[in-house]
Amino acid sequence: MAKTKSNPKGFNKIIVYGLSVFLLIVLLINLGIIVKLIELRKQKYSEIYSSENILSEQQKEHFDKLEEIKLLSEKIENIKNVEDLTENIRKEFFENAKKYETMVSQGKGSKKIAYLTLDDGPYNYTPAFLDVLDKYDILATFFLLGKPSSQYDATYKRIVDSGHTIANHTYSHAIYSGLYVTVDSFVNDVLKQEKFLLQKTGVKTNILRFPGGSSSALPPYRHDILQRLRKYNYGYIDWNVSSGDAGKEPSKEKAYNNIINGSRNKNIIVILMHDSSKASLLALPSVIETLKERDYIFLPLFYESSMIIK
Amino acid sequence: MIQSKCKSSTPMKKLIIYILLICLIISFALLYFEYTRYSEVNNRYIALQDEVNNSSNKLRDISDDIAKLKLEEETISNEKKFQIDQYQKWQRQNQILKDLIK
Repeated sequence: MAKTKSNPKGFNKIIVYGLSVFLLIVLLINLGIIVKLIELRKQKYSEIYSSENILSEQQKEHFDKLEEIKLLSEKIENIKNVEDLTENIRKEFFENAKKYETMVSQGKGSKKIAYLTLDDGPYNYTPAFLDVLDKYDILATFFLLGKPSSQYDATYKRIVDSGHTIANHTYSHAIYSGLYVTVDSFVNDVLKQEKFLLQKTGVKTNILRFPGGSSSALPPYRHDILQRLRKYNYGYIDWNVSSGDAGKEPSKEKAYNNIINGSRNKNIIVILMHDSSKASLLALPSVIETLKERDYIFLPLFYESSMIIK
Repeated sequence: MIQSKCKSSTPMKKLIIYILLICLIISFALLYFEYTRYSEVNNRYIALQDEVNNSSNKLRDISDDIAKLKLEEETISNEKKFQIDQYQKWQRQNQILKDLIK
């Protein structure tokens, strides 16, 4: 009897121990999983942190790239409209030139003004003159004649393309062979040149320089010529400084001295040179450098300039 | 003596089992709680990864657009090189005057 009673007790004991061990094992496994989950969660947090950093960098990059796209699109649009923009800035330039010229006339400007003008071109030396002007980044004014030979076509075009002002110096320049004989002979020559320049360059000019200077248009025609020119909206200009290359070719030094000495005590100078003069061409770099040192800026002529007589 | 020992050990065993059971229940609750938190964090991580991937794709698209625009700009700049030089020349000249007028 005692034996039979002891069996269930031993069996119960095994069950109790077994259950306890089982519960303990499950509990430990649970705790292990919890610890693992905590570790994984921490790991995920750190991955989230780095992903957030990546995302933030990507957003910044995204923003920068959108800005780059905006700038590039604007740039492309500007390049497409570069001709219009150039025309606008050209207009602004001449408005500013007018304002500055007024300031200099009133003795207010910090720099003086030099209008460099070249007569009788195009000539064989004209491209070399243009090279010098390009080198010094200077704009000048070319008083052009009518030279129908195709050898000068590229030169006419280059003068305009480089941004220099082109002006009328009559078609024939025939001072001694009929240009000033009558009012009509002169005005017709001017209008012929206007048409010629328009055809060669696409530019219509209304600035004139009389061949030999305005004093060459002597009375009795002078008054009538000026009246007719006004009708065609022309203004004219002479010069107040010359390299002295109109007659006999001077030396390079003489051409230089003529200009530098002639510019003394003048706030606004209009320099006369001729495209045909090698001496003027050789003197030009030194002239530019000296005048720049003496606080001159070089400007191209424009119709609204007070130096243009209307 | 043996009987009394047996009697006192039975409630002790029961107590241990109850305690173990309670601990087990608590551990399950903790496990559930921790799993829920982990899931939330994991979902957030997955969502963020999707966002990062989308953003990368967008960036790639934008980079392609930029490359196209740069090519267009280069082509058009070459075509209009002369006009651009002219514009820059006027801009330089104008700037000189603007500085003098100031």
